Amino acid sequence: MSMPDPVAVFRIEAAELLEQIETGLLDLTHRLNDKDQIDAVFRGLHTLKGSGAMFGFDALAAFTHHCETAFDRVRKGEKPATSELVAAVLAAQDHMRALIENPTDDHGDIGERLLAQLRHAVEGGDAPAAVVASAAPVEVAEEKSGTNTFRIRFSLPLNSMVNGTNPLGLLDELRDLGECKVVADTSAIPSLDVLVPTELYVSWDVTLTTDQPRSAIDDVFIFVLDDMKLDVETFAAETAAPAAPVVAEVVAPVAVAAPVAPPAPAPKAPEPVAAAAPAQRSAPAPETAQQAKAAENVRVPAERLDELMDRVGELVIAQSRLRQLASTSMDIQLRSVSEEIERLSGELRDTMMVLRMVPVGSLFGRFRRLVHDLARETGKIIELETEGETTEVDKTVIERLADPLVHLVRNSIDHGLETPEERRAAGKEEAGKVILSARQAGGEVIITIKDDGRGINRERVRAKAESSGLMQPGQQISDQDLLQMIFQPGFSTAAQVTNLSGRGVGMDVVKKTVEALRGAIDIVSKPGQGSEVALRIPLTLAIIDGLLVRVGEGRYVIPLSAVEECLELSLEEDLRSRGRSFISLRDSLVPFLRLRDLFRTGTKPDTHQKVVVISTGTERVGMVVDQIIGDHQTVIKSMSKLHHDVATFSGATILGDGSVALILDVAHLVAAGQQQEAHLRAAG
Amino acid sequence: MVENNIVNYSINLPSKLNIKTIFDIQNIISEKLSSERALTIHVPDDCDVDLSFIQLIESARIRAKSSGVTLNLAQQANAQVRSVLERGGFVAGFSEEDEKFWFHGKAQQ
Repeated sequence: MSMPDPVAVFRIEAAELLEQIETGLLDLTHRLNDKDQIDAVFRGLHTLKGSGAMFGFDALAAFTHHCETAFDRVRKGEKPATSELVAAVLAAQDHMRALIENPTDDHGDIGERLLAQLRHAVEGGDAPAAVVASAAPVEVAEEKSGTNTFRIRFSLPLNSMVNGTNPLGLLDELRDLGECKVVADTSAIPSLDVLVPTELYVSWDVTLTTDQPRSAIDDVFIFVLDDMKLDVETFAAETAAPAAPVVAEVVAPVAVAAPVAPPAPAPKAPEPVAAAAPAQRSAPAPETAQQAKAAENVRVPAERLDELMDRVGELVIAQSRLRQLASTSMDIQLRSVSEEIERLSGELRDTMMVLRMVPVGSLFGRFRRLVHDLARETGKIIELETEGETTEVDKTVIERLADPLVHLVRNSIDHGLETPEERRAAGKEEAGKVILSARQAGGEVIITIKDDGRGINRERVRAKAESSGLMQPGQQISDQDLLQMIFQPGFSTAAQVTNLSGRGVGMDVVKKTVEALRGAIDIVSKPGQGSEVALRIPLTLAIIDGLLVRVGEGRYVIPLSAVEECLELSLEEDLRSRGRSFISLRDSLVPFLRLRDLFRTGTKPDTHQKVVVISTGTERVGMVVDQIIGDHQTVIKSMSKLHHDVATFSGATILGDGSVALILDVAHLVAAGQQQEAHLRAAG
Repeated sequence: MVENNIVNYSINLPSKLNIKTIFDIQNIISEKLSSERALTIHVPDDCDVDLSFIQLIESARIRAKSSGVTLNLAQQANAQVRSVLERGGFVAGFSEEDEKFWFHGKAQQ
């Protein structure tokens, strides 16, 4: 399966985010004090910044950070929302679009001017004037004193490539100034095992003969001048040799060659410049290739896939009805057609499911860069491990989990992992570990984010929860409930707001997103040893293979993926186990639940009851049913709002005869079974 | 005798060889440099190359040399790679060994 280009995916998502931000801003112009809109715009900017940084759009991230900070102040009531501020951010938004579409283009001083407007809108200061002054190109009247030869040695910051600086473009600009000899110094490039391939280790030694003034060289480096090392030695071509004999050894051949050389380098010079032109505006070129590649695929709105899935669902129900009719008919042809339709609808369903499934690796792939950048920002040494990348999950799940996972990984790194010094002092290895893993357990996918950091400080969580009014001072709650406090809106124990986290945004969004996917979050944290957050998400959201069973008069569906085996519960064993509710299964005791009792059917048990053993990962539980009817393609229909809080069932489905069967929530039943086991064990 | 048993492993790189894909390229090459004794790299003709790729290959050469792995390009640098090598000033500082690696010892055009 081909992985989607993460940058292309980011661009699409960013475009959607910008649309949301714009809508929010436009709504705000009518209702300046609308707190929900202010929060929405702030969250949009926050996510855009985070995602931008993750995909290497550092200029975008840095620029957006200012807008986010401005809205954060408004959100906290430190500054009022004004029309001027809204207008400034709307204008800034256009620049964000440009930074997304053409990150390597020279955007001039637009960003600075916009930020000055923003500062003015927030502070009401005189920032624009200062920027206008700096915006005007500084034209230093410098005399052109004939032809000069310069020796230019420079090295750019390590992060210059990821920041969008194109060293080849700078060299091309130097070539534009005159005759140029460029020699790359590769001696600082490390071996592959320690190379960070996005960092720049090459430096350059350039000999330039030009009639341009020295300031022209500075102009080439104007955007990176503050961070780079630049050493320029000047020699007047005619007089250099006697004046500087040591350097003359280097310069002399060039200087001497000058009168002869022009015919040779002259045709050569346009070649790299011609090549430079598309490269310098590198965004459009890869875009074209990307577009050509994208033309092979069709991007279908998710709603259309959902519609198609609904149609397939209806077809499956109709086919189920046809099968039932055919089974009672003596018409051979009808039976034959029924079987054919059943086969085709099964294949259609499988194809439909495959269309929606993507390996979770496409999601994990995005985090390598994020962790790399965060390690540099925080000065922490971080090892990222990923496991189970081939685990496939519904596309919708992947899309919705991207942002929550960013928040969780950021939190793990920012709050969880210690600095190398702290880890040394704690007797740990200097490098902290973050493990992203995915695995399928029954009908669920479990995605975990684990770190070996300091763990969650329960005292701080409690103190913050008490001060925020989330719990009463001294109130006794379970450890799990206490840890779950970190998912409350606005909850942050960070002493300082950093670029990474600490604004209390995100963790509540994580919880909301997971719950919207019918999932749940488990959290485990051991002081000094680290934390593990597990997101349990249903594998599919539409159609499942089910095992149709009868309990009393009712019929129920058990997700087949969770079923391990089916056994017969003899009357003798049933009597013997009464009160204990355990069955012996290959030398291990498995607790079981009598669904007839649980659902209070008021019916007598069948003579030959069955035990369906289900599991979620390592936990197993048996469920006693009266009859196993058989497999059933189950189209999941949501429960009504009235039944939203009924935890035993995860949904409902329509059977072939038009009646309704409830779908059992495996995780809930396994938990109930385990709880029952614990009680029985405790009771001795 | 042992030399005769060395299997020359080939890898075909994708067409995007730039800063956006460079981590993946590093992984591909690193993995093979760790497991093979001889490695030949195929660079596609229509590739999109930037400086990060040249730097990566130079780094791979250092690694290969230190661990006794034979590392080669399947073909001499194509037009795109050559352009980056020239624009970046690499060619001007090439040793004979560098010329042999990147251009297979053939005279530059």
